[in-house]
Formats: sequence, C-alpha cells, structure tokens
Amino acid sequence: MRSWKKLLILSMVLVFVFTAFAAGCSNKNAGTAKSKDTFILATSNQAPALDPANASSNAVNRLVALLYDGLVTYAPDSTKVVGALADTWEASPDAKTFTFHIRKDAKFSDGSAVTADAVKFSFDRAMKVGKMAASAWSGIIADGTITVVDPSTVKFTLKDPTPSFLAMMATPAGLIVNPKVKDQYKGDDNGEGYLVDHAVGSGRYTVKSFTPNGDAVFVRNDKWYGQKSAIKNVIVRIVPEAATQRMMLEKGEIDMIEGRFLDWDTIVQLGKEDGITVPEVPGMDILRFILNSSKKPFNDIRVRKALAESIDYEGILKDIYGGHADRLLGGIPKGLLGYDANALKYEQNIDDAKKLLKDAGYPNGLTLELSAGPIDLWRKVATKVQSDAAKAGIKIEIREYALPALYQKMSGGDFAMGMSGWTPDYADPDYNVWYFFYSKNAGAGYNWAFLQDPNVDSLILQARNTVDEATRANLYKQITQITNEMSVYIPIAQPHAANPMRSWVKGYVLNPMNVWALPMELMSKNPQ
Amino acid sequence: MRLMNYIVRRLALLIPVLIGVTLITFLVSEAVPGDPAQMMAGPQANPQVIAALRVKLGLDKPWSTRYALYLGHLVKGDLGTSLQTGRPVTKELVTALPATLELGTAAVILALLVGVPLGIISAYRKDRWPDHISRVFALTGVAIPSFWLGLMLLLVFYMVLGILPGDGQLGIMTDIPKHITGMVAVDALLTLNFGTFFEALQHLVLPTITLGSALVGIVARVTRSSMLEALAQDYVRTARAKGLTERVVVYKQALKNALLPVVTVIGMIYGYALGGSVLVESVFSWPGMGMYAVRSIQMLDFPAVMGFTVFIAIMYVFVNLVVDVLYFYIDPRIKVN
Repeated sequence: MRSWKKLLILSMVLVFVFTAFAAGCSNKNAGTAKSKDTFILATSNQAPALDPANASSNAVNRLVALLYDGLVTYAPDSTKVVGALADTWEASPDAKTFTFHIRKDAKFSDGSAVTADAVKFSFDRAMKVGKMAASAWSGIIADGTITVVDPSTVKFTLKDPTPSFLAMMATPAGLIVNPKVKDQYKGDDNGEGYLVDHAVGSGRYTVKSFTPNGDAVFVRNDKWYGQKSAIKNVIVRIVPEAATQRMMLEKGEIDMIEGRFLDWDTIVQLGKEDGITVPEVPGMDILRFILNSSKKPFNDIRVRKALAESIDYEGILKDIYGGHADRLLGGIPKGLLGYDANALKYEQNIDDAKKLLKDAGYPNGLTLELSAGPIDLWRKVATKVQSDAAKAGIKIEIREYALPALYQKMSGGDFAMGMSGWTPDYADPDYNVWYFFYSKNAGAGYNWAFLQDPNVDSLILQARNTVDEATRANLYKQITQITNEMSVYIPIAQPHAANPMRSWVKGYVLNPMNVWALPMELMSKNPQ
Repeated sequence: MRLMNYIVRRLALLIPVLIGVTLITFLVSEAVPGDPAQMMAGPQANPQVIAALRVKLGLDKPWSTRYALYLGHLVKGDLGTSLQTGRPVTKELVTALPATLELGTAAVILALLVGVPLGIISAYRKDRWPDHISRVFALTGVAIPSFWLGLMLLLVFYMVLGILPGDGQLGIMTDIPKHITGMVAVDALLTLNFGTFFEALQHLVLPTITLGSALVGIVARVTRSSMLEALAQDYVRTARAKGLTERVVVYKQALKNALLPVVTVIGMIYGYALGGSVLVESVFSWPGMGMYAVRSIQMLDFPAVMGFTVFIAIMYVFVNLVVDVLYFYIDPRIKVN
C-alpha cells in the first residue's frame, strides 16, 4: 500500500499550504516605522499603569511624562530645570518657600485651564494614593501648606529648607492631574483604577490605547501649549527578547530600542550597521559593591580596604563595558553638583591587600558571600571581582537573588557583601548621599552599608539645608572624601546610556538624568 | 445521568487540588524574601508610607489569616488584586488567556496534523527509513530548546527571507478586531475582517511551529507505539486474512483502536502548551499568560503569581476531564465505573 505516502504528503502539504498561505499574503505591516507620522520604541520594560502618583519605574516615567506636564521640567539634554506649566517662579532665600506662576495658555487635554487649584489637587491626591509620589513629598511638604494665591499662582511652604526642591518638582512625582478625574473615582480608590489606562493630563500626547504591561499607543495632543511634535503617534511596543528587538530595528520596523537592557557588544555592533545610529551620553546610573559595616568581616576597615585594593577597576571598565563607562569615584556620579574628579580612589595593589588582611587577622585569607542580582552585566562584573579578590586571598562565593529579594536581604542587613545599581530620581547629590550614608537610613532606608558616623550625618544635614551652591558642592566633596576613606561602598562604574535607533530619526537627544525621556517636541522622522 | 455524576465527582476533586496548589504557592511566596509594600512605595519611601501600604495590602496580618481570606475570596472567583496594577487578577488573567489559548490550540492542532500521520507511518514501516526519519524528526522536535528554535525561525523567516512577521499577534499599526472571544484570529474571522484574519494567521505561524515542535514528537511517538500494538493484534491479522485492503485494515481497524492513548496525550500536551508557552511568548512578544506570569514573578506580585498558578491548575483539571469524557464516545467498552 502506498497510502502512507499519500498521508505523509497530505499532512506536509497542509502545513506548507498554511505557511505559504499566511506568508503569501505578504507582510503589509513590515516597515510601519517607515511612516514619518509614527515613532515606535521597543522595550522589555513594562509599565503596569499610567498613574503619575505611582510612577514607579523608567517605563512608567516615560509614558506619564508624555501624557502629563509638571510645573517645571528638565531641559531635554541636561539636568537644568526649566519651565513647563509654570513659566516663572521664585524661591525664598532660605529655600523654604517656592511660588510658581502658571502660564495662561496651559490647558488640559480636555480643553480646561490648568489652575493653581489643579496643582494643589494633584499633590493632595498623590498623598492620598500613598505610593511613589507620596514617598517623594511626604518628608518635605506638610499637610495644608500648598496655598492657592490666585488662579494662576501657587505657593509651596516646605517643612525645611530644601535647595533640591526644584529638581524634585521636575520629576514625574510633580506631574499635574486634571481635578475632573474625581468624576471617575470608585469608592476610595482616588481614581487609581481609572488612571491605569486613561490619562487626564496636559501633556504632549493623549492615550489612544494602553494595555497594562503591554503596548502603549499615544496620539499628539493638539491643544498642547508648546511647540508640537512633527510626529503624530508614539508607540511603545513591549518586546521582551533583546534578539527580537534587534532584528526589528535592523528591519526598520521600529525606530529605537531602549538600550539599558542590551549588552554593550550588541549596542556596538548595531552602531556599525547602515541606517542605525547610537546616541550615547554619560548617564547617572551607577554600579557599586556594598560592604555591610555592621558585621564581620567588614566591620573592620582593613578588610574593606583590602577588598577595595584587590580589584582591577580599569580592567572592568575596559573588558566588560568596552570603555562605555566611567570610573565611579564615590556616591556622587559625574554630572551632579559636588562631583569630585580628584576624590580618593583605590587601585589594585595585591601586596598591600594581603598585608591589610594579615593585619586584620586573616593571614590565610577569608571566604565570604556576595549577594548579587540576576543581571547579566552584574554577573560579569561579579565574576571579574571574584577572580581579582582571589589573588589577595579573598574567596568570594556569588549567590544570585531576584532583585526584590536581594534588596530585602540588604535592607535587613542579612549579607556581607552585596551589589546594586542606583539611579537618582532627581538631579541633586542629596538623593544619593542621603540614602547611602545617613545613619538613620541604615537598612530599609537604603544605607545598606549600615554606616553610622555622626560627622558624616552632620555634613549631610548641613549640605541638604545649604542654599549657596558653591558651599553645598564643597560639603559634598568633603562627604565623598570621608566616605571613600571609610570604604563602606566600593564604587565601580558609571555606565554610559545609549539607545540604538534608526538614523532617520532626527532631533532626538538623550537626557543624562532621564535616559527614558522622549523629547518628542524636538523630534521628526525622515524615513527612506 | 451516570456520566453527569462522574463529571460532578471529577469537578469535586478540584477542591483538594486547589487547596494543595494554593497552599504550596502561598507558602513559597511567604518564604521568598522581599517586601511587596516596599517595592510599591519605591526607593524614596519613608517608613510611614510603607507601613500604611502594608496595612492596605493586608500584609500586617499573619499568613494563616491571609490564606484563609484568600480561600474565601477564591470561592467567589476573586483571585485578589495585582500589587502592580491595582486591578483584579481575575480580570487580568482573563485578558491574557485568549492569546495563550489561541497559540496553544494552534500548536496542538499542528502537533496532531503532523504527529499522528508521522506516528502511523513509523508504525507501519517499523525500522525502515520512514520510521527512522520520523524518529529523528520527533526526537529533534522534543530536544531543541523552544527558545533557540524560535530565534532561529525568526532569523530565517523574518530577518533573512522577510516572509513572516516577527512579533506580536498583529502588526504594530493594525487595529485589534472587536472583542468577541479575545482570540485575535477568531475575532477577525467572526467579524468578517479577512485582512486582519490573514495577518493574525501570519503572526501565528512561527510561534505555533516553535511551541508545536516539541508536541509533534510526543504525539508521533505515542501514536507509533499505540499503532504498533494495534497492528500486532489478532483482529488485524483476521482482517487481513479476510482480504480487506490495507487502507481499511490500517485506518478502520487498527487506527481506531490505537487512538485512545493519543486522546490521553492531547490532554497532556494541551496543558503543557498552556503552561509551557512562557519562553515562546517572550521570544515572539505574545501578550499571553506566560508573559504575565514572568513579569509577576519578577516583580514579586504574589496575588498575580497565585492567580496564574490556580488558573493553570483549573485548566489542567478541566482539559483532562474533557479528555476522559471523550473516552466514552471513542471507546464504547469504557464504562463510567
């Protein structure tokens, strides 16, 4: 019988007909990024909701910053604070009172005016929601201290002098919500349910569609007061797999990839391809090791220094980052006030490290655990440090945890050596220094090194309440000098930020602080 | 009526299954370090905000109380609220389910279309070259990691040949058809939107092959062994002796009897296709339950992880029940008791 052959042929034909039929319809959507009206960004970074009161990640920040405006914002290419909904403002000399004047032409996307009442409402709502924005403001703004002076003037009276207030106001925590959202409240949810996939802002775009943790499709808000973007639609497409993202960019189906999750080999290779460019800036993201100074063995400064002197820093920057990172010199990255290019730094000196260990009572070296996270780049750095430290007699066992678990572990002090990245939410050194070194923040407050030093505490408090910039910068340099000497953190790298994109995208600039930002008003496309 | 009783008894079995599944998942999520309240409040959170969130989320209560509350809600079909989006987990899972069902069903259909004929050929030509080819094909399908296969298929059919799309259920600019079943291809067909239907089919091709390749191997091997057994039976020899054609012997006599284990395996692979599509969904940006589960695990969104686990457990029980019920129709010898 020949029927098996027929059967084989039939089933194969069925599969191929299905494939060919589908394929034969030709892929009409190939090259949608080739439309000059639509900008498409692919990222693996999912945004769960569009509520500015809970802008909890870069993914959410990027979206809410297109849909909402704050009183002030950062200039597209720097950390300079510039006007947004407010065109002018005044700060009292003691940096405790800030008065903002709202532009007359500022409108929400429904056409209603942005008023001082709306500003007050937004901050009150953020506090009630009790999430990210509330965390940012609750230590700074007391209840009932936001005053509506007149419909276009609003005054903030702060608990303490806060020179970094304007920088904080420029973050997504300061975005203004249309009070009409009250019509959408369900029970006591403060509109959180509604704002998952709707927006009530005054930003450059409005929501066409949004799926939580899925794609976002935004259309230009033609009522926006500023210079409108040449690009009508913005699409943020969730593509979890980096290899798929890369193929889509190469095919010209998307305009840009969020580079934060790509390794440098891929970014460099993409940059060499025709039709693709890679804008790159020194970012403010940092990578450091954290040594728990409250426990053995790192309660001994000699052991901390021994580890610091066992690491080949330049090797890490050259071999792992391919030169696309700067050496980190303490808690304050390059680009922030108070950065000190001449800060005390350690270099690899194995003999010295061995001697320090011997003095500390470890003549035969020691073994310790490094708590790390499941990030490929961290893995590479951790492995390199493991092999460096072994030369000095420090045997490191690397153990990986899911990020939330890692942070919990470090917050609880249940570790010897940890590693972590960190990006400041606003462009002020206080953001880093306050969390890293202030004694009361030990543990859950992100002083994971459990540093307790009254001298450092007093300098931090003095710096955060000082208005004069030069004096502040000096204070931060002192803090860096002292904490580097203590060596409770081992600063490693300040990686560059780079977002590979099609060369037909014009006008895009990468903000060193907000690497997630899309300055759509400057951007246009000229696809071939 | 007896069948009805049987179905009710089987559904009652869901209760211990669900208690077991939820208890284990609950205890595991208790054991994992990480405070969801702190994650939600963010890096600048002060202790008051975190404490308030803990109360709001019920994290201040002991685990046994929270577990009892969870079971109470589960009975009402409420799987809790996602810590990340603040939306009901049930609603989110129902949104993500159709995409996974669509892909899983397509993969199972592919597995049957290719696997069953392959198995029959293998059995009929045992130890001859068609059997060897089929064996290599089946084992390769099972052995190749779906993640790698997906990327290779993308590279060839999307990147180099450019004949098939690479990601998602539809093109970036295509409007999703009106929601009827939630399965994009089906909805497009039901709304007579043929352009979108064909586009959805194109988008299905590569993920279906990726997910289905492992299933093809399983179906082919089960069909083969079951067919071999059937072909060796006396009734087959009798049929041949009676002078029936090979076609009748193989398809009418042997295949019918050999199908029972294949039906069993359909239940298994369907469950696998639903729960195991995680990597395939990631490679092809397929917005289904797999992607939902991965993200929830990464973000320690415990209610979402629990919800996913419960959902998959229910699906497994349900699919296997359907398979068991199918037995009665396929094989009249099987009785309810």
